Parts: sequence; structure tokens; C-alpha cells
Amino acid sequence: MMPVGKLARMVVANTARSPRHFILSAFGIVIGIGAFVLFLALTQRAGMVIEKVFPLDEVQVVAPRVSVGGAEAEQKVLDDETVKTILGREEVASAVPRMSLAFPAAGRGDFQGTDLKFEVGGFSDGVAGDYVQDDARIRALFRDWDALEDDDNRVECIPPSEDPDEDIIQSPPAPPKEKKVGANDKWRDNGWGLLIPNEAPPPPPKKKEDTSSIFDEDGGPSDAYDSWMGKVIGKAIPRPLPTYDNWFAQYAMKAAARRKGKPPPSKEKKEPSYFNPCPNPDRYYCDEAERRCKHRVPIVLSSTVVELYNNQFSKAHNMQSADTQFVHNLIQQKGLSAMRFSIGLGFTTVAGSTAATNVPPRRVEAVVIGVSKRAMPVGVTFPIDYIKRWNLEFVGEDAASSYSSIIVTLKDRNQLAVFGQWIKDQGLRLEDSLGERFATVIFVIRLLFLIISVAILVIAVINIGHNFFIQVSERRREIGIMRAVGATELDVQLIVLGEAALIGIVGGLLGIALAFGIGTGWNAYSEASVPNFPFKPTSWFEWRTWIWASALTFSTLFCVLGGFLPARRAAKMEPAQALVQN
Amino acid sequence: MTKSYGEGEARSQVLRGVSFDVDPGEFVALVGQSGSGKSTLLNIIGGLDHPDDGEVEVLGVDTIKASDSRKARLRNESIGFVFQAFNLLDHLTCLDNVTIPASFAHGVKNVEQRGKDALARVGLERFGGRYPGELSGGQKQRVAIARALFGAPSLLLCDEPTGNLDSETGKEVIDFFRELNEKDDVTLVIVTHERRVSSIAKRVIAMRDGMLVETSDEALAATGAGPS
Repeated sequence: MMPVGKLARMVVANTARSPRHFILSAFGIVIGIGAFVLFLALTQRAGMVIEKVFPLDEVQVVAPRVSVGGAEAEQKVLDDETVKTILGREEVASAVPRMSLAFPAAGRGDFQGTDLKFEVGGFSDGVAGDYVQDDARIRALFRDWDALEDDDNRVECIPPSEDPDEDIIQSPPAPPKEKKVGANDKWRDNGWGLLIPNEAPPPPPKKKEDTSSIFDEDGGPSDAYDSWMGKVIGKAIPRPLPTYDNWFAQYAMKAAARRKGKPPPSKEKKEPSYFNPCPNPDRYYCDEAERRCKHRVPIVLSSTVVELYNNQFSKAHNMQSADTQFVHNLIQQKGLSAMRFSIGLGFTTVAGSTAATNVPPRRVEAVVIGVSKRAMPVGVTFPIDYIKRWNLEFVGEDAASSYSSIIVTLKDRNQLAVFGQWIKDQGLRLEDSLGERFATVIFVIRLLFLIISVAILVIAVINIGHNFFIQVSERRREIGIMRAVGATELDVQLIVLGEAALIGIVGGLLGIALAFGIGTGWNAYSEASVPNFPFKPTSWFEWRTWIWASALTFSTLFCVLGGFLPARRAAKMEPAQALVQN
Repeated sequence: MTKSYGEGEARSQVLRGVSFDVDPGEFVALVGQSGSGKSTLLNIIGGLDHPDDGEVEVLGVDTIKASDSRKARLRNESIGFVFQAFNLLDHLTCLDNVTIPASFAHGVKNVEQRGKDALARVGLERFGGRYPGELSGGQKQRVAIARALFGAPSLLLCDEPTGNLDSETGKEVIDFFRELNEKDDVTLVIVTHERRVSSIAKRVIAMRDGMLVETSDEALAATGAGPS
């Protein structure tokens, strides 16, 4: 075999000699490789977005909903027993139950200065605290705070009462005012529209303060209320809290105005401040029902919710758009109270909804502690203990013991079929995972794209082969001369293959450049002209080294393949015959 | 050896049992009518073609049994070819044409200098940078001879080297061959129609219909290989 350096020099010289041949041969390769790279980078990005939206390493076990003659037939229940059975399977790595809130609930909160109301009932899920572990803050806060035995912060407090102008519709309708709820009930109306426990009123807070006068005869806040509250705030809150246009503040001022029989003081024009008599006000609030400071209910959101917020709320309300990092930063800068909101358990924002609950509605405060990929895609995710407790309180034993689904992580995804069959045998089923379906669609699209680009490449290869056959027969004499002066068959073959490989390398590089150019152009166009939609990417393409490498390898390999037969023919040519041509 | 081309009806026997020896340093002229098999014989000797049957040994190498690379090395190092059609590569300069055998050899040193020396040998030292298209027929043939001499071969195989040249230029080329044979002791086998060539050859081998006929000067007239 001839020396490699001389071979390379000859190959480059021969290629440079016939640019027309080069362009004709390389054209198809450039297009084919361009398509190949573009499609791979696009589907790679799509796959990554899907993995971000839907965790693909988990499956959900649900109870099938069988409907017989229009009525729901008896349904298989997912309970602790089911979880235990599933955990007993050897292919199962973990099984985490999920429970949905079984009754209506409404959320209301101030998000960057805008009052948002939203339905929570159908969109609330509880999972075990240790299942959601995304970052240090979430690990520390995502737990059942009410289960803490001795929480020093859980001091008694006087809650601000309900705002009569509140436009959240109660469901079921609130009992008429003045009418006492039955003696056996746990709740009574305090005459101010606020339902308080039907037990002895809690002892007045802290002897040091003379707080007896902050209630009037009806149990509503008295004139002394404001001054007392001011003192408490002065003590408990070292800095002015961010303004919070919620019913607490509104009520305090409206109530005071009503008592005095005159319009609300001009003070109201100023931004009302949020009254929070609790220590550690970033995390604790004064609970209306228990009249005690409680930790806010920690919740996590999914990145899908953040995206939906960006594309629905933030646009409609002309608010700043958020991303996962933004939520994180907001919490770090302004504290947790920047992300707090209230949940009216048993309330609904949907008029005419009649779901009955065992107890009258009440409010709790919640706080968004972060964005988690373990959060349910659409809705808010609580530690499951809260959901269990609330379901028990508002609906009953059944609701507090049956899960909506069980999130199962398999040790090996390949065992999914086995596990799926077993689940079927148990009378349960695997939830059709949207992520799985999307992944399949992406896989099919990717396959289709690959077939298209491979088809282009195959045509290009045939074209290259054809061109080389022509070239080889045009260069018969040259090949004959080279054989006469000492070229072996292998040398001749390598020269032709080398030229083909060079076309592959240069064509591949040009194809990659073409794909990158189109990709960059499309990104710029998308940035400027394509309307926003959830998960609209900043780049539509994921440029990976393996894509570059495989493109270059493929293009070289394909070209060498195309040059193979012509090279063989050139090598097998009898030199005497080749020279006779002239 | 025997050699035929084509298949079936179209099959034609080109060599019908040719056998001869050439001693080192000989100057042999192969004469005969067109189609008598001279060129085929020359190509077989040079390993550019192979016989159907028989034995060929060139410079101690059995070119029928030898591998392709062994034969290539033999051509590269020990055999020079000169063709009637010059067979230069038009896209290369004269110097590059002369040095092309070096492309297929390992460890050749001073390639450029040796190429220039070979060109000087044929009186074209100032034509190294020119392209074959710019040269006359005689000059082209001298470049081709320089290429054949580049590897300092011990055997030079020439197929009608003066066929495309006018008689004056042809004479120069023939004189050069004689000089090569006498001074450098290069073995020469020249296929020719020209009596002028065969007259200076030390030995003349005449062919007719693929067979050797006579090796005497008198026989030439009978074969029609007289002065053309």
C-alpha cells in the first residue's frame, strides 16, 4: 500500500481537479446530512421537553372506572393494603400513594400585586412528604406541620374576621346569620359571618396585654382591636410586610368603619397592610378556626403550572412571567410570604356547585415553597397528611382512606409489561401516561424523520456511486498509467475510496453547517414571530456532540459505500486494457 | 505462453505459444504486423497483462504467481514503460509526471532532485514546471522517457516509442535508447515497425499471427516490418 500521506495528497489534488464532479456528488450528501442533523436535534429537544413535563420513569396505578347502565358500578378502592401489595412485588422500587381533595376548595392570593382567585378543589393532590425532595427548601418545608407535637410558634391569636364583601361563593350556602348551628355541631356562627368552633372561646391571649376589650358583645372586634393588633404587629413583625390585598386587611378596616357608622377612613386609600399577629410571620398565620398560629400549608407546583401561569394569568393580568428559577429567586428575595395564598376549604368559585360537605367551610393559608418535578402536572400538591385530614373532616372516613392513584417506580423499565399484566390481574389498571404517549409520538416522528433523511442519503449514495462510475471510466488511462508506474490494486481502490470519503467529510461538514444555519435562523424567527405557547423553547434544537459525530460518520460511511463498487471496478481494471483505450 | 481475448465466437488467439529469453543488457526489437501480438507480449512481460497459459519470469520474479503488490513493486522499482501515446497525466507538471512513481513507493528520498536529474537526462531540465499540453510530441516522449528512467530501471519496455514522432525526433529518441543500452547497461525491449530501430537492435524477434517466426534481419522483409 502506498504511503498514507501521499495517498491523502493525491486524493485532495484529484478532488480539487474536478470541482464539478465534487459538487454533483456532494450536493445530495449535504442535503441528506443537513436533514439528518436538523431532525435529530429537533426531536432530541422535543424529547427533553417531554421528560421535563412528564416524569417517564414512573407509572400510575389507578382503579378502573366501570360504568354499568349509566351508574358507576362498585369500584375497586386503592388503599394502604393495595400499596402494601404493590410494594411486595419484586420489580417495584417504590410505590407512593396519591390522594385528591374530595371536596371543593377555592384559592385566593396576591401574586405580585394582583388578586387572583382560582379553583383548587379538583386540582389538589397529596403525596408523601419524602417523595418530593427537589431542593433543600422543599426538603425542609414539605411536611405535615400540624403533626408537630411541640411547636413553640403555635401560640394563640386573634384572627381577623371574614370580609362580608367576599365574593367567593360558599358551597353549600352558608347557614343564615344569627341562626345558631345545632348544639351538637362543632361550629357556630360568631355573628360576623365567621364560623368558629362551638366550644368554649379560647382563653384570651397573653396576660400582659389587656385584650378583653378587643371583642365586643357579639364576639366581633372592638375599637381596641386595631390598637391591640398594632401592638402585636409591632412586636411580632420587625419590618413592614409586603402589601397584601386580602380579606384580612380589607375586613379590619371595613369592620372598623361599619362600627363607627361612617365611611372607611381615608387610611384605606393607603395600601392596607397584612395583619399577622404570629411569630415567624413568614411561615405562620393566625388560623380563624383554631385561633392559634399555625404553619402555612406547604405546597409545591409543577413547572407545567408555572408555564400555564405564564401563558394564561400573566398575559391576561399583564403580569411578569415566571420560570422555575424566578419562583426560586422570589422566595429567596422576598421570603416565603411572597408566595402565600389562602385556601377556602369547602368554598368554591364555581357558582351553583352543590357538593355537600359535613362541616361548614373554613379557611387555611398555604404557601408555595417551590417548583417540583414530582408535583402533579396541573394543580397544587400538598403533603398527603393535610389532604387525608381534610377529607376526613369534610367528607368522611372513605375519602380519607382511598387513594386516587399510586405512583410506582419500577426497578427496571423493561419490566413494565410484566407489572402491567399483574396490575390488570388485580382488577386495577395503569393510567395512560400522557408522557408515555408523547414519548411514543416523538419516537415515531423521530423514526419517520430518520427514515426520510436516510432515504435522502441513500439517493445521494446512489448518485455518488453513479458519478464515480462515470469518473472511473473517464480516468481509465490515468488509472492504467498509475498501475504501470507501480500502483497496486489496493492503491487504486484507496484513491477512489479516499475521494469518496473526502466528499463525505466535506459534504457532512457542509450539511452540519447548513442544519446549524437553518436551526439558528428558525430560532431567531421563532423568538421574533412565533406566538408564545406553553413550554415554547428558547432553542428548538438540542445540538449534541453525538449528533455532530454521527452525522459526520454517517456521511463519510455512506460516501465510501457509494464509492465502493466504482473503486473496485477501477482496481480490477486490467492495466493493459486501460492504457489501450487511447 | 498463450493469450486470447474475447469469448466464444469472438474469441481470438493473440499469442500461440511464444517462448524466448532476453539476457540482461540486451537490446531487443520486437517486430511484426499490426495484430501480431507484439504489444500483448510486451504488456505480459511488464506485468500489465497476464497470459492464459505459460510461464513468465522477469528479473527473477515469476509474474504469474507473484502477488499484485509484488508485481507493482517490480514495475515501480525495476521496469520503465514508454508508450506510443506518451501517456502523460495532463493535469500534472512535467516534473510531477516524472516523479509520479515515487507516490507509490516507500522511503524514496530527494524525489524532486531525482526528477530534475531525469529531466536533465533527456535535455528538458527547464521544462519541469510546464504542463504536457504545452510541449511538442518529441518533448512529451522525452518526458515519458524521463519518467521511465526515474526509478533507474534495469528493464525498459517501449511500445512503438517513435510511432507518433517525426523521423528527426524519432532518430533522437532512438539514439538516446542506444546510449542508455550501451552506457547504463539497461535491458531494452522495443516494439517497433521501424526498420531504423530494428537495425540498431542487437537482436530482432519477428512475430506473425501470435507466433515467433525468425530472428534474422532478412526475415523482416517477409513480415512486412520494413521501413515505414
